[in-house]
Amino acid sequence: MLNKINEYKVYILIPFLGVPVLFNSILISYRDSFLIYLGIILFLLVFSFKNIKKIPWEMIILFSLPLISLLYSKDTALSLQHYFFFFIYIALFVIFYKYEHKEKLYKVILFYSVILFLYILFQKFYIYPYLQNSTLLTENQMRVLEQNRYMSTFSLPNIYSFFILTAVYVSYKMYKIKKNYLYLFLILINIIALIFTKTFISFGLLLLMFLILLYRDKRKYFYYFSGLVIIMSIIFFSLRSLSSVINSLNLRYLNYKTAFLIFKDNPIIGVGVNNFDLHYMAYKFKDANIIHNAHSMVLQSLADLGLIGILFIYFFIKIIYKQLNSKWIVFYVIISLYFFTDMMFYVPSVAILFWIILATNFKNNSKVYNYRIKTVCSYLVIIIYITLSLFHFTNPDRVFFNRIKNKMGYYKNNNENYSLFITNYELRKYFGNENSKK
Amino acid sequence: MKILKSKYFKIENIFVFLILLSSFSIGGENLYFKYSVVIFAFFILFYKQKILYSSFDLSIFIVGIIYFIYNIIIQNFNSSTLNFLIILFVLLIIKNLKIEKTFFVNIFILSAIIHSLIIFYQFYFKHISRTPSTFVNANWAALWISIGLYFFIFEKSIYKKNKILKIFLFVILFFALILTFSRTLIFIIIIFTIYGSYKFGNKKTLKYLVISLIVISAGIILIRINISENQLTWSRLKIYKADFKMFMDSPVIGHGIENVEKLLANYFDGEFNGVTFFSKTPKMSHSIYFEILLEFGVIGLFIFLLFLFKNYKKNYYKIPFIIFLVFGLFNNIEKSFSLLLLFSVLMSFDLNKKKILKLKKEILLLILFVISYIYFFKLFSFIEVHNGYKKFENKKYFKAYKSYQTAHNFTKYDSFYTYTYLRYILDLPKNDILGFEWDERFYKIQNLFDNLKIYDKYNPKVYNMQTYYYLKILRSEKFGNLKKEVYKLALNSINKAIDLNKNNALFYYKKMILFFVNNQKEKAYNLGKKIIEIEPNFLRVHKLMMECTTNKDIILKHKKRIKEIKDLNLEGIKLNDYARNILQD
Repeated sequence: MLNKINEYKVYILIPFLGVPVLFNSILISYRDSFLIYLGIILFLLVFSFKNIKKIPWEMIILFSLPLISLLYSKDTALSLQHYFFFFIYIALFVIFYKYEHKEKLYKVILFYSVILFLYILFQKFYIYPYLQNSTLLTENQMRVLEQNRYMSTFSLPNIYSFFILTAVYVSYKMYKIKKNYLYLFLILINIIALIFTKTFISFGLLLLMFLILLYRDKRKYFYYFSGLVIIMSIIFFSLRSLSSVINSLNLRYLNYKTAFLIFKDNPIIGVGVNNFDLHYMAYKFKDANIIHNAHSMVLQSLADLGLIGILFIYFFIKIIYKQLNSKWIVFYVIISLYFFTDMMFYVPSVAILFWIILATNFKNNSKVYNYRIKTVCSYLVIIIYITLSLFHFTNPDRVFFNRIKNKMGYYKNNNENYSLFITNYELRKYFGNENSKK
Repeated sequence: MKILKSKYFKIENIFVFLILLSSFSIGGENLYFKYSVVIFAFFILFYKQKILYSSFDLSIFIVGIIYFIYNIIIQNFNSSTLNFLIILFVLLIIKNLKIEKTFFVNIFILSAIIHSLIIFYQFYFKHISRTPSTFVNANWAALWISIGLYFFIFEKSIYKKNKILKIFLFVILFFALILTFSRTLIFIIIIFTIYGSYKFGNKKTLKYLVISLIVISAGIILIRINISENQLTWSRLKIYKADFKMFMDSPVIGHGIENVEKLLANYFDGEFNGVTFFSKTPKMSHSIYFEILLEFGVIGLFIFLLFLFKNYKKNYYKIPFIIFLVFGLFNNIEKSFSLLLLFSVLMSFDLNKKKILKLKKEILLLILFVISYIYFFKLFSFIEVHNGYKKFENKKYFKAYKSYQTAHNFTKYDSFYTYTYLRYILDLPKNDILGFEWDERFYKIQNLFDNLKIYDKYNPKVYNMQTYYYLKILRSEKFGNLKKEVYKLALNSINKAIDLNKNNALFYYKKMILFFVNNQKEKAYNLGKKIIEIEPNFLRVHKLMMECTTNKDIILKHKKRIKEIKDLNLEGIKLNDYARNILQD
């Protein structure tokens, strides 16, 4: 029984990658779907509890650091969302630590990549034409629609492109092991899928990945590929116009600048985990779009955690650095670069791929000092994160917004006008004018 | 390269040199030097990859952490509390360094000689009566030079090789010491006399020493009395009385780190200077032992004395140790960072057994990074605030505002920068200067006060300033609908300020204005009576009391009193801001 659970736990990935019929749809609500994930993860965690003591020190410290912000975050509900994500990452690391059925895992990813590619075709010809008139899409999703960028079962093309990068790398790895041309074909269809997403960051990272891999493994093809880069770039920019890319870059620059300003005003401890979302409106530039995270793990960490964020980045890089001799190092570096330049670290539907592959291929060369203390710390971190994840489902959304609204109601009832005056300004500052009345 | 290979070119010696150099920058209180020393100490830790410590040092540090946590619990967390913990650790690092005695003695004597020359310069050319050299306080300079003098007389040094030089330097050091006119010197001279006679063992020498002692002591006392005549001074005993009262309020665990300055005035009985009773109130206890007693209670003092005793027993330089302890009886020597560092250096010359704790280089690098990060931002705040002052003087108001804002944001837990920023926004004549609307201005001010109440909770100045802000709103022609609540908030604030300092007549005056503005004239009048008990010459109180009553006899009485105050002879009396406020028309 245990072996069966161990073998088939790889299928846990599927709900995360967005199976729209079952999850995130009219059939099951957002909150309930995540409760199911939590249930599944806890179930599998119990069977993998022996791996908890295998969590490296760097990871224990990495995930302990954000807990400090519980002491000062304005909106704990926002923080709890990210704590839930971090719990998923640690838990999946534990569940998949040195997973024996690696090939099964890779095959699931690759098989799913084919499904997603077919789904893109379905989206292009049958779904997108109907979505043009939808009122359910966000500003960003509408823009994506207008640019004919495809996202498959994910909520944005960037997120899908992260999955594609992973699938391409896995295909390459499988090709090297199996020497089967089928995997080359899978690389090709995933590259086509990537072009459909028109995500320039992942396109650039894909080219970089191939350059490094070919330089390392097949020097002859590296030189051919270097020439191909120019042709591929021309194809990409003809599909997605240069002006569109420049516009995206401008918006991204404004987002980064905002995150930096938030960090500059709170350099020691930041504003609290995921509280960038709360402070963004107060710092937003006029021409910038509305975002909910900094679109960069580095800047998000700086804005959210200040000095602690710098340590967070340091320990994350250290985890990668310790895998320098691993065969997957190129994958880790490319994905880390993607984390640093986009929001993927905070999107569990794809970030889990990084943590699962890391866990599966983890090389633990460090000497263990104080083994018992490490084990206790590992269990403690897991327990704290389970508790916080459960809190995430008991706390209502927009706690800070509701708190201010309640305060305003109280002041109105008690005829306290000065406090009402101040609170009204605070509401407009964080949530914009449409959420308040003068 | 020869210098680099020299046995003196060690990191500990460089550090000692830095410490002695710091004494030339406001007694080590110059922030550039102060922060450099702290970061350098952690750098040494990183460089050596090990910490030397004795068991008692570890206990002291743990006690320090407990006090730190206690201060967080009582909501006394701010820049000072954080500094306390970090600097305690730095002092323990220094205490366990292996410093070369010869190098230290020679370079220390040199620093004492330089200080002495500065004192002569200040006395003869600048005509300063109690010359502090580059310290803030003449007593601190006296401590530094007396230790230098000790090393010069009783330890081997390169300066004694030439007889003429030896006498010349002795004269410089000795007379510079006298020029500080520190009364504590009397005790130091006694110590030198006793130790000298013990060391050199001669009855004739002892006789001469005793005579010189009497002459010098008498001279110092006479000159001090002469200098003190026309200054705003108060008797030391009154301060110690206030210290004792404050101690009795929280004897076991004390009032919290760095709270003496904020709270001591509340326990002071006042000293009439011809105009006011409370224009000068003590900001420190004038004794390191009292300071520790007031901040950490009996438990803290006991631990401190035990620490001193343990370190004295096996210390190589017992007399300088005693000099420190004696100076500490009557002075707050811990307020000079250089003196604290010097004391740590002296403690490093001990014969205690040390343990070694080796730490991974990476952990030490992380610690060094965190400390450097915190202190760099503190330094940036300091630089930005001074940039703000310059921009304000050049009438670049928006840029000044940005500088103050940045200084505050970089170090939100340091109330000094918050006060500067707040003061600027509070006193803005018009919103147009910075492009504010009223709601934004009020919001920013309220936020800053909320910040101050977190990081400077025990300071009456916060609540006083908040009352001033509320009074501005109450006195304005706009904001009619806000005033009802603002009045209540103002009253709460000023009551809190009065709770923290019952001797400040200006606080009561603000409360009186609040009653008056709210048309509670009887209350205002009764409060006025209380104020003139504290400060009989408070001119505006008498004027306001006149407006609170319709009784012609009482009005006449106040008019007479006002005339008397205006006719006060202020010749020879130096007025500070408080006194000027009291006499203001």
